[in-house]
Amino acid sequence: MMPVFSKVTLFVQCMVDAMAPDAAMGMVRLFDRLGIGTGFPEDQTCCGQPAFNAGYRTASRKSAMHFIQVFENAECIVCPSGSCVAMVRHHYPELFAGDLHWLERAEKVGGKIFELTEFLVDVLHISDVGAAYQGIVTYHDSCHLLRTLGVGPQPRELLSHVRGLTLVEMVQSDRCCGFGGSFSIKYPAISTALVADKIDRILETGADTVVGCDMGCLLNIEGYLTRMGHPVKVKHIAEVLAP
Amino acid sequence: MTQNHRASFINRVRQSLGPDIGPADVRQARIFPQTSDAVTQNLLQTVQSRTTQERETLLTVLMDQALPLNLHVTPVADPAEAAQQIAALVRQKNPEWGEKKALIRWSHPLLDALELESVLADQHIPVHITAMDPHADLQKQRQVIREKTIDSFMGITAADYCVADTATIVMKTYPHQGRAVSLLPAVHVAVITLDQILTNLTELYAVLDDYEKNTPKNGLTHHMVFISGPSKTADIELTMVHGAHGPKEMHIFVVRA
Amino acid sequence: MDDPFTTEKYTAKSRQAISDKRLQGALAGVQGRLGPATQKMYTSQPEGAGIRQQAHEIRQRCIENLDILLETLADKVAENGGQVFFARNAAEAVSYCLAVAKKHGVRTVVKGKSMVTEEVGLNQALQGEGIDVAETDLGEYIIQLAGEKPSHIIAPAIHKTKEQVAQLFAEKLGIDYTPDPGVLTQAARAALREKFLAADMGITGCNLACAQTGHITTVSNEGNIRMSSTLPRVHVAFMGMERVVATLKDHDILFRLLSSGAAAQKLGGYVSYVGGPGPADYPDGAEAFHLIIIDNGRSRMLADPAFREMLCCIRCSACLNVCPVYGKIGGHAYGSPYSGPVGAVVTPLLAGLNRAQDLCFGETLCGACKQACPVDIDLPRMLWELRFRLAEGDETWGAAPVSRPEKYAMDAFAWLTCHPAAYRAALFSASRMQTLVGAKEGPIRQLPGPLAGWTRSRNLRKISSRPFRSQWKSRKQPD
Repeated sequence: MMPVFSKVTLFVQCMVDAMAPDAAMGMVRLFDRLGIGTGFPEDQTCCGQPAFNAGYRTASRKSAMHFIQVFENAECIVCPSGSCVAMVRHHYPELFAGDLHWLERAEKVGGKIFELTEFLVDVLHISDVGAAYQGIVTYHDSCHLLRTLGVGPQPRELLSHVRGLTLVEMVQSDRCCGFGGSFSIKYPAISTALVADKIDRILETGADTVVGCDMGCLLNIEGYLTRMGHPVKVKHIAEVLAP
Repeated sequence: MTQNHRASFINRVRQSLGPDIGPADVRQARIFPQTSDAVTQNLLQTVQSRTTQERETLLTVLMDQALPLNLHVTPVADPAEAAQQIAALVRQKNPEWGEKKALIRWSHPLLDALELESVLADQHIPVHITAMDPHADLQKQRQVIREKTIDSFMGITAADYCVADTATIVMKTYPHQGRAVSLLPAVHVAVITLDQILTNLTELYAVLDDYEKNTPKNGLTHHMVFISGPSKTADIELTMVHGAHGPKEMHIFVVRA
Repeated sequence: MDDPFTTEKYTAKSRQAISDKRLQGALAGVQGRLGPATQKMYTSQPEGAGIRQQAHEIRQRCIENLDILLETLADKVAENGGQVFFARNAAEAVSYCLAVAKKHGVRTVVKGKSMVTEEVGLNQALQGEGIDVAETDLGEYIIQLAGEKPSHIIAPAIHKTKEQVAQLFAEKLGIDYTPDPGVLTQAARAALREKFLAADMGITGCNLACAQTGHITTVSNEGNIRMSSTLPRVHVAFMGMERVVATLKDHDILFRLLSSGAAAQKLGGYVSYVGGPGPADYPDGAEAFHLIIIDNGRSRMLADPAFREMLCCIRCSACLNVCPVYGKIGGHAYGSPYSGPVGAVVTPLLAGLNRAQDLCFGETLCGACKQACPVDIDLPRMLWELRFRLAEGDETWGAAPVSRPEKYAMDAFAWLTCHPAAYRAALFSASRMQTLVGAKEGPIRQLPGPLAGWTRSRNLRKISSRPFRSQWKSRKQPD
């Protein structure tokens, strides 16, 4: 039985907002098709993850407080980014460990924020969203989505019901692509070596499209694919699932 | 000698643990339980009431587990059959270093029962023994035993326990039992009895713990070793090679009677 | 002083490792073989999925009672005729060992593999006294002949091909060039047998001592540690102070997991318990046994709740066998005997946070190590903690903030995120300004300043001229 949701609040994530708006629009159309209203608090900005990962917790806390204020009254928050949801659920409690008031508010938000595929499959119990996509697709598991949130079967479940889509698994789909946030800029040689391996794995599948749930990974993979001149398309799962 | 800083060292550790660790005697009692828990008691009970049939099943497990480890396990009816098997091995194998064949063994009732000295008499192969005479020159005896161990191409030991699941023999070190007997010669032969076989490491540790708790001083002895097959290494390109520094070959004979 | 931890060295060694095709193949081989195999072993234990958590609880309990365990261990070893020395730092550990060597007229030493002896610089100190030190673990033996450092905790010579070893042995041992692991192992076996038989002193590490019974333990497969602790007349064991458990029962789960994590084995081929010298009327065994227990910065980790968990580590190397970064840069880039994820945490804590900062920043925080750790240590959490201390400074650890410009940038961005109107304006200007760094059409191919690291090898999609928030504004709501 599908739980009744009249509306979800979207946290689209800074990178999706700025660089993959089609994916976010696709998400909106998807919820339209499912008969679920969508809200987008305009004051949303960033969850504070980049600062946290780089160790700047004071700065991160500021962004986190703003995030909590923007979203704490939402009924349910959906986000097309596994790493952001991991940040809110798992790191906000660390950020506010010494502050009972903010900790409580953070945990409240953490209890009602979901990554997109997690929401569709685990909360709405929907595996077939009525989508269609012609192509051979291989799926990349983002590290925080998979290991922190435990989301791995859900995207595959959704992709397997997309009409016209053939899903092929790459070897080591769960091996880090080398993005790691500022790691990709500070340690470019290692980052490039890792993404080069990932591209090899993708090419080995013969897929024409690689799909993922996290924009950081996708930008990294796409960046190397296009520089090397490979025609493999890079899509956020929201784009593939969108009507 | 250099000054030992035990007090300040431990003090530093204690301080690092913080002020809320609680009184030492309470912590001591909690971390070193004086009696074994229910699980251990059950295991000991299981071991003690094990039937011969159940032990035979364990023997089958042992043989299965030994296979991929390049460990040869052979059941024999009695010590005499074990001795025959060992004699056959001696005939087949060539010494690794030098030409002469010699054996070295522990002084142990089960190994005495093999009567290897007479079984191998026709092959003219010396069977050295690591027995010590406490009244004679100890250093000299140790030196002689060491040389004999170096010159032996096969070492024979008994064992205290055998673990079927991991194909492991467990050997404490009692008087007249050379540690190098299972180490220096290229072939190690262990002779055990069926009733020494335990199921797995959990059972082993229950038995060891029980023995240790009931023995007034150092029940595990000053040296105990678990051996699960011949020596090996994969340090070169992860390629498995048997016979690194310890024995290249290992045999266990399980005496049923 | 030749500092192994400079960013230049880290970068240079990383690049060197990445371009070394043979090394890449070797690392892929180790990780391909052991990574998945280890996972399988964890799930096939009778305790089920909770076994790693159980192991964690055992280790945590031991660490929290470390003072009691160490005193109990020391008393029991002394009761059994052994000598225990508590070394507060590397210098004390080394000088005690030298004193023991001098007292016993030691000229030759055989060594089992021990990372803590690398940590304290033992070999150089012994050699400085004219004592011959032979590493006897095959991998350590190889790198000692080659004059190199270990590149993996369990398989120190993993970076060497059989051809390289064959060449090395031909030069140093005078045998024919034979790139066959069996033949090469036999050559090492013969050469080292002589050393074992002639050595005055054997030096080993300790995997997990048992306080209840007063024994150190060593786990191996080759037999070299047994040789080193049985044949020479003096045995010295080095032990990091955290490498101890309370009871025999603790060994059950931990040895199974250690063997799984290290080599995907059910149990290491040789597990030895040594509790003291043998009585004089026994046929063999060392006449003197010395246990050196080392702090060298571990009590500092113990005192910090954020890092105490790291002392639960049993040095199995399971984390190395899954780490994507280690799989690219190999062990030498870490400049420390502790490499891989464990090295990324332990090395800064022991050697200095600022000094070894590249080790904890040069990780992607992918979390594979946490999944692979048999004791369920949350390594990523501690990497995040180290980064926090390095970003904002930390008095306890003497960490200085790594980059003021970066801090200002982060503060500025944080300010923007708290002021949505300004954030939107910044987004708008960024989308306009990016034409300055790229062609009108197509991706960005060149980013300025510190961001250039990305575009050296990758393109970057442009910021959309119509970000989602603009599209949302103009979208028609459905009825």
